[in-house]
Amino acid sequence: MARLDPLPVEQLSPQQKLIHDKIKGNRPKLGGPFGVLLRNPALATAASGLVDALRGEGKLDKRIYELIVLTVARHWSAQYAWAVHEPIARGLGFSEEMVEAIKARRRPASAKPEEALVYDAVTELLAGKVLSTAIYDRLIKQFGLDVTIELISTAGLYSMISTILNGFDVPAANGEKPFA
Amino acid sequence: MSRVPPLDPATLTAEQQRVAAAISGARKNVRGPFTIWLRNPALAEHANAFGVALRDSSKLDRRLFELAVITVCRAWSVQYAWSSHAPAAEAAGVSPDVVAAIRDNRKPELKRDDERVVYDVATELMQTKELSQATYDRAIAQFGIEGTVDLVSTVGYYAMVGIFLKSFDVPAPAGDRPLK
Repeated sequence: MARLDPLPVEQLSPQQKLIHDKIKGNRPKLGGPFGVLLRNPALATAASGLVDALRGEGKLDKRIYELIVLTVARHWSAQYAWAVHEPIARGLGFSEEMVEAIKARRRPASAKPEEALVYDAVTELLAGKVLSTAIYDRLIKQFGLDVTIELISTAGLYSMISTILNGFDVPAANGEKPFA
Repeated sequence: MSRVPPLDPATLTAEQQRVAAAISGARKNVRGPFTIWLRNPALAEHANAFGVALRDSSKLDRRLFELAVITVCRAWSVQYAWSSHAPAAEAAGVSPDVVAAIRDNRKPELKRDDERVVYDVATELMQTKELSQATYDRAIAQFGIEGTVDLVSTVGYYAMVGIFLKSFDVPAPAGDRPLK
C-alpha cells in the first residue's frame, strides 16, 4: 500500500488539473512519481519537462535510455520504476539475460559493447559516486558530449525519481515486488 | 578543471540566451551544473525550475532546505555544491558547528526537532536508499504532506545535481576541496 495516494482528480485545484491533464497524456491514470509531485505543481511541471527533454526529444538511443533507467532503478531498488520500465525494455528487444542480470546487479553478458560501457559508467557513478577519467573518455569517444550530457542527466533524473518513489514507498501498480 | 568548458556567451543560440537569462534571474548567474546543462537548453530550463521551486518553497523554510542540501552534498562528496551551499546554510541559520560536523562526516548535534527530521530523512534516503516508516511519520508530523514532498524532492534533486557535477568533475570555484 502506498504511503500517499495520488489526489483524486476531482479534488485537484485548477492549476493542478491543468498540469495533471498535460502530463497524463495517454496514460490511463497519473501515478508513480507524478502522483506525489503533483502536490507541488511547479515540481510536477519541471520533472515532466525533464522527462520529455530526455525521453521524448533526446538524441539518446531508446535502448540505452531504458538500460540506464533499469540500472538506476535496480541501484535504488525502486519497485515502481522497475515495474514500469522492464516491459518497455523487453519491448525494445532486451534479452532475458539482459533483464535478469541487471536485476541481479550483474553486468549483462549479452550487452553490446556500447551498452556494456553505459552499464559500467552508471554502476561506477552510483556505487562509487565518481566517474573515472577512463570511463568518461570512453563515453565521450563513443557518444560525443551532447549525448553524454543526456546519458548522465538520465542517470541523475531517475536517481531523483527513485528517491521520491522510495521516500513515499510507492508500490508497483499491480502490487508486485520485482526486488525481494 | 571541469571536464567541460563553459560556452562562450557570444556563441549562444537564441534559445540558450533565453534560458540563460531565466537562470541568471533566479540565481544571479549561470554557474556550476547549469554551465554544462545549458548545452541542452530544455534540460537547463527544467532543472533550474525544479531547483528554484524547492529553494523558494513555502512549505520548507530556507534553513531546512539548505540543511537537506548540504547533507546530500556530503553523502555524494560534491565539492562544487558544498562550496556554494555551506555558506548559504549558515546564512539561513544552520549553526556553523552543524555545518562543520556534516562536512567532517560526524553526526551533528542538532538542537531543533525540525532539523533532526530533515537530517534523518536525507541521511536515511542516501545511505539506506529507503525511508523507514518511523522517519516518514516524523516528517509528516513536522512538515505535513506538502512539506514532506518538498523535502524528499530536495534530497532527490541534489542527488541528481551531485551525480551530474561528479560526472563532469566540476570543481569548487576556488579550486579547493572542502570535502575530504
